[in-house]
Parts: sequence; structure tokens; C-alpha cells
Amino acid sequence: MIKASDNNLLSRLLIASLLLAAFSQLAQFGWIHGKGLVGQWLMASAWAESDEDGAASPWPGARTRPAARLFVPELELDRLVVEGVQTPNLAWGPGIETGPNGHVLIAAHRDTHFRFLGDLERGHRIELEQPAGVIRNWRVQESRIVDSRTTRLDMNARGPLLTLVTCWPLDAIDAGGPLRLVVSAVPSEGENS
Amino acid sequence: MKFSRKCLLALFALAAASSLQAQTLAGLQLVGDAGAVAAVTQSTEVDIRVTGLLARTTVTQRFTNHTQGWAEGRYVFPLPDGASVDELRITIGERIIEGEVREKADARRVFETARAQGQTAGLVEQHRDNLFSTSLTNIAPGEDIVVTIGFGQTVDYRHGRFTLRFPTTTLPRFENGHVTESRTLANAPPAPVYATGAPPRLAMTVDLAAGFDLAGVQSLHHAVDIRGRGSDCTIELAEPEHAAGRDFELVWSARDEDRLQGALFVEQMRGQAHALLMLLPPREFKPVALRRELILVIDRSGSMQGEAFEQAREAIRLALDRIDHDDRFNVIAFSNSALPLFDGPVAASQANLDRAYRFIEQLGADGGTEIDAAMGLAMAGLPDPGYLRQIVFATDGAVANEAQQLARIDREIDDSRLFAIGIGHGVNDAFLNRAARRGHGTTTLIKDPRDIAGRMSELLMQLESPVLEDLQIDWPQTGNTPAETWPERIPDLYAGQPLMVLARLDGPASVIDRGTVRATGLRDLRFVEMEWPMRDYFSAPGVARAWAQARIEGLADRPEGSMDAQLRHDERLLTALEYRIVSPLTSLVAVDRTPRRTEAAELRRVAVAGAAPADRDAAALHAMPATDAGSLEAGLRGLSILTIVLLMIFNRRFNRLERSRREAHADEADDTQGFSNTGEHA
Repeated sequence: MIKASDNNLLSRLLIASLLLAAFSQLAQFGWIHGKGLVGQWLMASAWAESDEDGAASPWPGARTRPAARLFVPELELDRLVVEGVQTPNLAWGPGIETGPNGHVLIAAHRDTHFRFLGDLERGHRIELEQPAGVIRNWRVQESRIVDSRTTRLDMNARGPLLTLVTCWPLDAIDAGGPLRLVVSAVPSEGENS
Repeated sequence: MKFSRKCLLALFALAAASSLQAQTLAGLQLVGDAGAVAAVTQSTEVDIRVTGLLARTTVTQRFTNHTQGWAEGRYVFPLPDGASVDELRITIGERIIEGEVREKADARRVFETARAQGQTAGLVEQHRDNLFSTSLTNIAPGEDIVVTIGFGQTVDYRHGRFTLRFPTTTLPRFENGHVTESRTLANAPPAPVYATGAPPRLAMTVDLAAGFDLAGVQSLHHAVDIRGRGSDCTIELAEPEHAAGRDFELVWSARDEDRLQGALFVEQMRGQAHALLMLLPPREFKPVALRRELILVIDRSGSMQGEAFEQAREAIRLALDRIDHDDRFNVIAFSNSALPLFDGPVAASQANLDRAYRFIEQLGADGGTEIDAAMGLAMAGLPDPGYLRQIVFATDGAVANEAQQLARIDREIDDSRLFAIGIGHGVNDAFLNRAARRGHGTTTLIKDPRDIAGRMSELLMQLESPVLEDLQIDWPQTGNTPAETWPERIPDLYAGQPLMVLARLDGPASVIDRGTVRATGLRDLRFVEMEWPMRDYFSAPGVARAWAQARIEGLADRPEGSMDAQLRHDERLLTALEYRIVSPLTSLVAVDRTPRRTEAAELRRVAVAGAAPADRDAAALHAMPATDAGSLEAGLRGLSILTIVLLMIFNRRFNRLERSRREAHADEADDTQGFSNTGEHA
């Protein structure tokens, strides 16, 4: 009798702890996506208050702020892009960085904001709106898969050039793989002033 | 010792070359029954009809057997690169015999059988790239025989100038100093014999329908009479008796337009629309932002000596004058061995340029044509990141170990562009075309040494200003089969140089009518898009066969190992048979009897996946950002643990249920026993 109840207690403990683990993992999933959604929402309100000096801080003490707005008309996509491509910033939205010669880099997580990157095709239009209301039109030139262990981004590349980066494959289960999907876009002739 | 042997070889080659050059078009020599060699009178008539960029040529030759016996003969003739022979007709008196296309060995068998059985027969074979032969057998004594051969070719267009070329000469090809001409033809009896004596008569008529107002028509090497006005005219050779021995080149031009133009030509064949998209860039050079690594590879073999080399020297000097100080460059001269100016490309500093000028000044022309080492040096290593390597390769020699050279280019060209320049009348332009195609570049053929400096600098200026890079063309499509396009690798578009892309579309023209052809590319690092509605096309005969010809050549051009050899052979053969053209695998044979129907062999078709290009390392300046939030991993982990927990709970439930049932069972047994006990007790 004592043995049975002992067993019972052990399995109950096991179930309880496993449940905890499962919920913490699911919570992490929810947290990442929630952060992504809330980030975009907060950024949107900060973006609305932006002026010539750039966007306002989205919340007190925020380490980043919206830097641009990215539209893909063909895919009906609208993303607020934040400053910097460091990991903490990428949680809130796609991160942007501009090289000294006009090479614009935008990176985002493959499981949140840049899920669509695989759907971009040559010729698709990309609009990038800067805080002062300047809109720049780009066209997708090519997509390719590169290995981040052997390939680097040339931030000094002579622009104007827009590069979108996310992890590849888009639906991989293991996080942190070496492959990246790199989409290059160039200014579209006649559509920019 | 070594020197004298080389000297002898060179002398022999020279003698062979000059005798061939003088006699090639003298053509057919009849070999009689008794083995006696008998000359025949003959004339050659050439009719060329030009529609836009496509030319259809008919060559009619008349022979008379003056001997007392039956006669046969054979002659070799070169055709422009990319030409496709699709017609052979033999007229004997009233009888007309039409040729049919068969597999090469099969055609030869039919011809040999006819020869043995005493039937009059003709055979057109392709020997090597642009070298063809016609054999005739069993020509009756005193008989007149007329042989007509028809072929299609494309007109060359550069810098507003259209050029139509008809070669009347051929030179032997050199393979490390040996003359290989006879070897090429060794398998074909009887051995070719060339007639001597008076040069034959060559009458030529060109009907030109340019499709636009002509700005000027001019023959470069022959005196001609020109009639007509507007967009159409007729050109005739003024002195047919003195026409042979020089390539015929006709040049005309159009008004210059300052923008990129395109024209779509369509022909329907075998139930499918075949399309030719022609892109004509503006003639003006407009420099664009491009950092280049220019490698000039120049032939300084003995045959270049004199004017040719002086002109090449001048062209390189001009290239050095124009080079940007941000650019990088190198100069490699070659004859029997390669002589590089620098070990690798260097910055175009004043000091380096001065060294280059001195180097060019001191170069002399001497020795043979060994391109191997020079090409190796030119392609060695990778260009600096951000630089586009352009290799300009100029030669007047013929290259014989082609396959080896091409394989090497495949291996080492990487993303560099290769531009070939062929100088003179004896150059192997088919090889240069192939090399340039693999190197994403173009070929420039310069026949007259006086033009070298001008045409070379024209090319070098072109290279500074690509009009469209990274060109891609989307064809309309009705079903699931995408259009099959040749060339497979579309080269960049440069000022003054047109681009022709051939495609076979998925369906007949009437169905595809609603679609559009769309070209996209980069101009000065900006995205450019152009569209042509299919209903606006020009109808042009010859497009389908030009496509078939491009396919047969293109399949052969694919790198070794990228495609199953048997499949490659079968596909090329099938295309040649289906489109009825002479190719390295098929010949035209005409026999004087009611032809039986031939059955084209059924061929295996296997789908093969194309090889993906390897990515190159980029500049190590910025590591790829970490772009994985790990939400999928977390979510999946959570879900799988949850599943385990559910399974465990379910298992516990099940166990508990089982236990309680067992306990209930045991209780029942206890009760029964107790009862009976009680009963006993009672």
C-alpha cells in the first residue's frame, strides 16, 4: 500500500513538473510572438508621432525606436522597422542598418516578422518609408540562400542597395542554423524622384 | 635542330594554308572511273534574302561532267557560325531530287548504297562547327547537274551597323603545330581533291528588307551594284569572275535611337510558337558606376606580325589611357608561352600604367599560338570583392584542343566575363563564340587588320558601360511547360551590341497571343523592366530553325558532367531530325529514286535536374545577423512535453481504472468465499 502511494506521488510530481516545463515553453512561444505583435503596435504609435528628427521613443527607456516602414504591396505586408540589427531589438520588429555607401540592411526573425521573405519574387515592389515621409521604391532583384559561416555582408558596398536577411529554412525546427535567406533589391527606375 | 623542325612545320602549314585559300571555292573536282582527275566547269550563284535580323541563303552550283565516264566528287565549304543547313536539292535535267535529314551514319550508308548501286546521289555533312562538305556521286558522262543548298543564319549587329558575312575561304586549323584539316575529313572517302586553274565564277544577289530606313549599304571587300531605296534594296556583285578568295561582307546601318529598343519575331513550327527577342541597345556610351578588373590577353604569335600587331598595340594603349584609377588591370601577352606584365591584377596607379606602356612598347610578335597558359593566368584567383573581372582575349589563330580549353573555362571562369576578339580570316570563330558564351561575354570578329584598333577600342569602351546587367526574360506560358530558352545564360547587354534570345513557347502562337514577354535587368544598379505584348510580333521565317540550331549547339556547350552523355546526344539528334537541319549528328542525303519514308528513332527522354551555381564568399565585413527567435523550437518543445504529460495522465487513469476493476473483482471473490464460509458455518 505504501509503495503504491509513493509511486503515485512520484508520477504526480513528474507530471506536474513536465506540465510546468511545457507551459514555460509555450509561454516562451507566446512571449516571442506577443512581443513581436506588441512591439509592432507600440512602434506604430511611436511612428505616428515621428517628425523630421525621427520617431519618438516607443516607451520610456526603450533601447530602440522605429526607423522606417516597410511595405510589400504584392503581399499586402506592412512592417515597422526598428533601429539596429542586434538580437534584443529584433524581438520588436525587423532591424535596419545603413552602410556608409548607401547599402541598407534589414534583418528579422524568420518565425515572426520575416515569415514572408520566401514569397518575395524578382520584380516585387518594396516601399521603404523614412521618418520624414520620404518613400523610396525598390524592386526585388534576386533571392539566394547563403551559409553564414562562409558569407558576410559587405556594409561598405556601393549603394543604393537593399538587402533583406532572415534565417533559412523558414520552417526549420532547430533554431540557430547556419543558413540565411538573402533577398537583394535595387532602386526601381522611374519610380523614385 | 628543334628550331629547324619548327621552321619546317611552319613552312608546311603556310604552304597548305595558301594552297587551300586559293583553291577552296574551286570546289568540286570529279574523279572518273579510270581514276583520272578531270576538271569541271562550274558556276556558283548565291541568293540571300534578309528579313530583319534573319538571313536565308540559297547556294546553287552547276557542274558539268565533261569526261567519258561516270564521275563523283566532293568539296568542302565553310559557313558562318550558327548557320543551319536545311535544304539540299539536286536537279538533273528535268528530275528534281529533294534531300532528307537522317542520322549522320545512316545518311552516309544510304549515300554509299546508292553509290554502289549506280544511283545519282548527294550528301551534305557537317564536319566541324562551321565546316561543311557536299559529296556527289554517279554523275553520268556529259551530264549537267545543279546542286542547291539552303541555310539560315543571323545577321550581325553592332553599333548601328548590320553585317552579313558569307565566307568563301577556309583555313586549316592548327593543333599544336599540326595541320588537322585532312584528319577531320579522313573518314570520308574519297579524299578531297581541289581543282586548279581559273578561279570560278561567283554570282551573288542580296535582297535586303531591313524593316527600317537604310542609312547606307556597303560591301567591304567586293565591288557591288546597289539598287533600290527606302528600306528595301538589291545588291549584286559587280565582278563575279574575281569574287572568290575573300569573305563577302555586306554592311548596312539604321538611324540611331538613343534608347534601348526591342523587337519580337515569331515563327510557328510543329504546332509551337518559336520566338526571337532582339534587344538593340543605344549606340552611345554612357559610363556607369562599375569597378572593374580589366585583363587584356593579347596574341603575339608570328602571324600577328606587321599591321595586325601594331593595331593591337594601339588598342591596348587606348585601353590603358581610358582606365580609371579606381580600377585594376593586367596585360598578358602569349605566343608559345604566356608573358604576363604583372603576376596578378594590380591597381591602375600611374606607376603601374607606365610599366604597362613600356611593356607594350617592347613586345614583338613571334612564335606559335598556345592559349593554354595565358587563359590560366587570366582566370587565376578571384577578383577583389566588389570588382567585376573582364577578360579581353584577342587572337588570330585557330585553337584545336577546343574541348580542353572550354572545360577549363567552365572550371575557372567563375563570375568573370570573357570577351573574345578574332582577328583575320583564319580564326576559329566557333571556338571563340563558345568561349565567350561560357564567359557571359561576346565575340568580336575583325576581318581587316586595319580595323583592329578601331573595333578593339570600341569593345573596350563598351565594357565600361553595360546597358543592362543581370538580364532575365519571362516568356508567356499557357500550360505547365516553361519556355525553353537559348542561350541558357543570358549575357549582359552592352552599348552598341544587340542581344538575341531564342525561345520555344508552350503552345501555338494563336493561344499565346494574349501573353507578354517581359525583360528585367539592372541599369546602373537600378531595376529596369520592359514588356512586349505577343500580339505585336513580326512574323519571320527561320526563327524555329534558328532555335533548333541554338539548342543543338547549346546542349553541346553545356559543361562536361552536367548532363548524361547519352541523353545529350539523343536530345541533340532528336532536335536536328525534328527540325530537319544538318548538324554534327545529322546529314542531308538525296538519292535519285522514290524515297521511302523514314522512321525517326524513338528516343529516351529523361528529366535531369540542373546544377545550382555555387555561392561565392563575400567580403568579411559584417557577420550575418542572428535571425531566429526560436519561437518554433520553443512552441514545438512545449507541445511535445504537453503530449507526453497527457499520455502519462491517460496512462495513470487507465492504470487506476484497471486497478479498481481488479480490486472490485477481488472483493467479489472475497465476498463469495465469506458467504460460503458463513454458510458452512451455519
